[in-house]
Amino acid sequence: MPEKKVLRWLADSENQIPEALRPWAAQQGFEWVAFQSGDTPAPVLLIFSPVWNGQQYLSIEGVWAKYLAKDYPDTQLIVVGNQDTQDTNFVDVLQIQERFAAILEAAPAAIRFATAMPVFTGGMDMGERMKRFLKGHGNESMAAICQEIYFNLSPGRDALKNQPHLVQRIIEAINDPSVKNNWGTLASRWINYQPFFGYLPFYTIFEEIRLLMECLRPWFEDSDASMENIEGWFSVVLPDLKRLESLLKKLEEYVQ
Amino acid sequence: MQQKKKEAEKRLMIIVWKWRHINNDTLPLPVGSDTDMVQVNGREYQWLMRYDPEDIEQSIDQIRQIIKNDYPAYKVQLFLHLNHNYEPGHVEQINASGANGKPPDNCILFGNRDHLYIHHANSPLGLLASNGNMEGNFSGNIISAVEKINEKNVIKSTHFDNVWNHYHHRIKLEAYQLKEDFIRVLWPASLSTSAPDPTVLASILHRLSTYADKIQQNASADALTFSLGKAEEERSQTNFYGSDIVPLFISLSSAIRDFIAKEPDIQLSKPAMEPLREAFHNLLNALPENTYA
Amino acid sequence: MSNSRYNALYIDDEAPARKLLLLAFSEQFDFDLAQTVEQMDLYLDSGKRFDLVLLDLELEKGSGDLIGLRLIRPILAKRPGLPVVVITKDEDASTLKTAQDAGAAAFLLKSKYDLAEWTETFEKAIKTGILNQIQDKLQRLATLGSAFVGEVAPIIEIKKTLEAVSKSPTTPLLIMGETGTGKEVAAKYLHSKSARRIKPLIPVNLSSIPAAQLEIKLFGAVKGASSEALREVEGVFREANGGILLLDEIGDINQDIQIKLLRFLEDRKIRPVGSDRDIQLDIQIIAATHRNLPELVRQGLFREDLHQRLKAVTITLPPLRERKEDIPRLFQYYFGGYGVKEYFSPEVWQQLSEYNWPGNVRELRNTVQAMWLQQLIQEKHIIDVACLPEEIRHYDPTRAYLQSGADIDLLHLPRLHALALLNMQYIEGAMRVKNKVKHDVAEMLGFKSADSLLYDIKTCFRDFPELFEMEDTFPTIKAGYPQIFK
Repeated sequence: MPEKKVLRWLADSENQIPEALRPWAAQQGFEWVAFQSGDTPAPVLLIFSPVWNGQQYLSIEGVWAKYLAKDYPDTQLIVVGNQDTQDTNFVDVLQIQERFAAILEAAPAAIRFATAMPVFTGGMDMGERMKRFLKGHGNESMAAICQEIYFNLSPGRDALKNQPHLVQRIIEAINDPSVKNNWGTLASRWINYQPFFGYLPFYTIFEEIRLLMECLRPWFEDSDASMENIEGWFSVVLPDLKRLESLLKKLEEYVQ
Repeated sequence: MQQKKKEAEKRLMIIVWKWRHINNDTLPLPVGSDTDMVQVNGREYQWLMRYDPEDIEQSIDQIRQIIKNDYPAYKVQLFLHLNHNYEPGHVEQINASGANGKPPDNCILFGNRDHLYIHHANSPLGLLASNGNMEGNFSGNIISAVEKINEKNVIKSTHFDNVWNHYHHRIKLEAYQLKEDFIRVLWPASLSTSAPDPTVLASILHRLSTYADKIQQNASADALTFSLGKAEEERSQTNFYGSDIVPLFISLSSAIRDFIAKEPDIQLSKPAMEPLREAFHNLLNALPENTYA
Repeated sequence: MSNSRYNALYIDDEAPARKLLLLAFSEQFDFDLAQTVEQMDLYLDSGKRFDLVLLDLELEKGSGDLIGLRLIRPILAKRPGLPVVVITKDEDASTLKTAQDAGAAAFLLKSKYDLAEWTETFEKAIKTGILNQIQDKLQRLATLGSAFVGEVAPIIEIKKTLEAVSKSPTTPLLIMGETGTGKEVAAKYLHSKSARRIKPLIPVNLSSIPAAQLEIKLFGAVKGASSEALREVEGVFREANGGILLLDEIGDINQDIQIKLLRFLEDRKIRPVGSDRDIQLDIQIIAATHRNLPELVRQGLFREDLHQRLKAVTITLPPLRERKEDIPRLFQYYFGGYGVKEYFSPEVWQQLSEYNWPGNVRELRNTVQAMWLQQLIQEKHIIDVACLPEEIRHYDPTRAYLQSGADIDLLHLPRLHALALLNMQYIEGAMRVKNKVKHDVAEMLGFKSADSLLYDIKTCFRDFPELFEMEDTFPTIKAGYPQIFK
């Protein structure tokens, strides 16, 4: 029995088209697998774009293309969209049954998208959205804000170690509103943008960011520094901030 | 679909507001004048006009004349403030066809309440707050839509673009969403061997029908009036695509009517869906803006 | 890590958020915070000493513009040589280059904060800054003109006199005063106020010119007039025509020159050596000397008639020890910059105040130069006693008084020193008069007994041994009480 070609497909949970195509896929001899985060996208990944996140349509193909070009350059990315456009890595959802085989045969690998862009499906450009999340509207990148908070707090560790008699002043300095203001920017941007990220390829990164934000939030929002928790500000908060910064910088690699 | 470069387009945003009656140290209106032009930073042909007329009835004609005589090649978005006693009737008046002056491409009647996108309270890139310096409070952060570059006050381009796009893209978004939705509902039904859910089908057909009706009710030869949102304050008219776009709306409306007129089993076929989708596509391709702000 | 404490100006609009940073460095640094350019200017104009400026390049949060880069040059313009260390999150190589080109001493990235490394950077920058500042100051001092600095009453009067004489362009002026009191400075002051200022002031040090050449140097010579004049020589008198001629060390000229000078003062004419014609000139003569001219006249070494001509208007510049209130002003002038006392240790200032400045203002200027050089050589953060010239470092007003007698004002001695000195002088005198008979001395001076007298001398020797260090001080007391002074 010839081995079935595995086709992984990614779509939003409300999109019934992929499941409706399952019989066709079976008939074509494809193993028709819904892509789960953590799966390897290779050898073929179909993305039904745009995706609906409950509020609006998001065009995710651009971000996936850059991700695959960098991390899985041999993957064949095929965007399934709702328009009659001719492109080596695109198939019209209404023509998928007729055209897919030929496209699959000829579609170049994702490395192509290191310099090119896939067909744009017209929804909210997630590449742009991710750029705005990471870089902000001016030059306030998330990573830079993280770094700023870290820079504001980390000398406190030296101060406490070398001049422990200053502990009360160190506590007061941590509790200065200006130190925590930056956290507010970080937190609100995360809250505003998080709903858009569900169908992007960085599930593990976003999940870790979510957990880190949850860990950090009580420190910055629920309580002040005190004699009881002062050590924790340097042994817990600082490493978490550093990790958060490194994750954000990792995401920046995928955004031009 | 294309994403048009926003920097090159000639744009004029006119905000009619009580500029002289609010605290405005940074950007006072020139003494003896009721208008002022502030350039968008880095954009040669993009401006904000601040207008505070004494007589709102005369202001309607004046605005049309300004657009026709001074900015004929510009896209114009006009914001009329409710507290100046502007009313929906003034929106119709300013958008009326006729030789007297030129209507704006987009006219928004906005109220002095915090839920409106043009205000800082609703957007980190808003334009207005209660003080005329155009500096406001978003989520506890004070932000200004104005900055000084080489001693000259300019509007920050990010703020200008944000408000412009927000009121600019919603017509296109409505069409885009309907195009996506109808395929999402009908195509799986077409592919499936089991009977489609009649409620779901009826719902999408109703939406298409309502949309077609809206186009037909508001279209004239060279203008198209749409109500953007539910709130009366955000009523807007769009005719800034010109007479080359209006026929595409009309075609879409016809295509919808043709589609709805078909038998249900025919509707679920590709030959029926494709022409309708193409009509959507032709319109969407001709609209230069994005479907998002 | 050095033991010095430093003052730093930290410029950052987010200064309140940086309290922990400032605490981390507080072991060695005291910080002033400026959140705006206006605050920065206030600090830089205040005169307060700063060893370092820390400048956050992202001065306006979110503006995306590195406004701090534009501040480096203005900061250095106000405080040349002050090290400016920039702190930024921008890792762009072009930013580093721009900062360096503008004069930044060092460039630190927020992402690479490390207490030890940053401390080392700061210290290195401060050290280099001190070096640069001293070099700048030495250069400035070398080219510094001579302003007539002084606010004490005699100097105010002298300035008024000079201003009056400046309005009388043919009146000669005689300036008397010790070496280094500023005779040339006073002459320049007059020149600056005079209508003759558009013409030169020519200073001539008469004692530095060999006698054989002096006449030619002053009055000129025709070609071949003598072996010293193989070609025509104009002479300083003709050079100074229309202007002012300062003849310093007027007391050192011989009779021939005196006669010729007198002739000029009377007729306004000179005759170059070897010439048979007089030349009419228009010059204001200022004569200066540290010598006692009346004494020279009395000795027949200086012509009375010339003295009379010259002394029509005479000013005498007081020695620096007689106008000690001007010392801080003079230091400020030569030091330049701000808050001069912040650059000295308190002990230094005390030494400088007590010193009697035999070389006067010239010595003070040279001392400034010497102190900076020593600060440079010894790599000191501030000028301490070790940077002082030896004579100032070891200066003891009591010893100086004892060595030079009446030249030292007792008022400049510490009170108890002065009283002890007077007491011993009193007893010394009585010992001589009473031929060392102690009982008689005690009775003469009102002591209860000879034992009380002995006790008084022993106590004085115990408390102020320096009074007795020199061999020739209080010889009679020492001879009368050898057991105390062995």
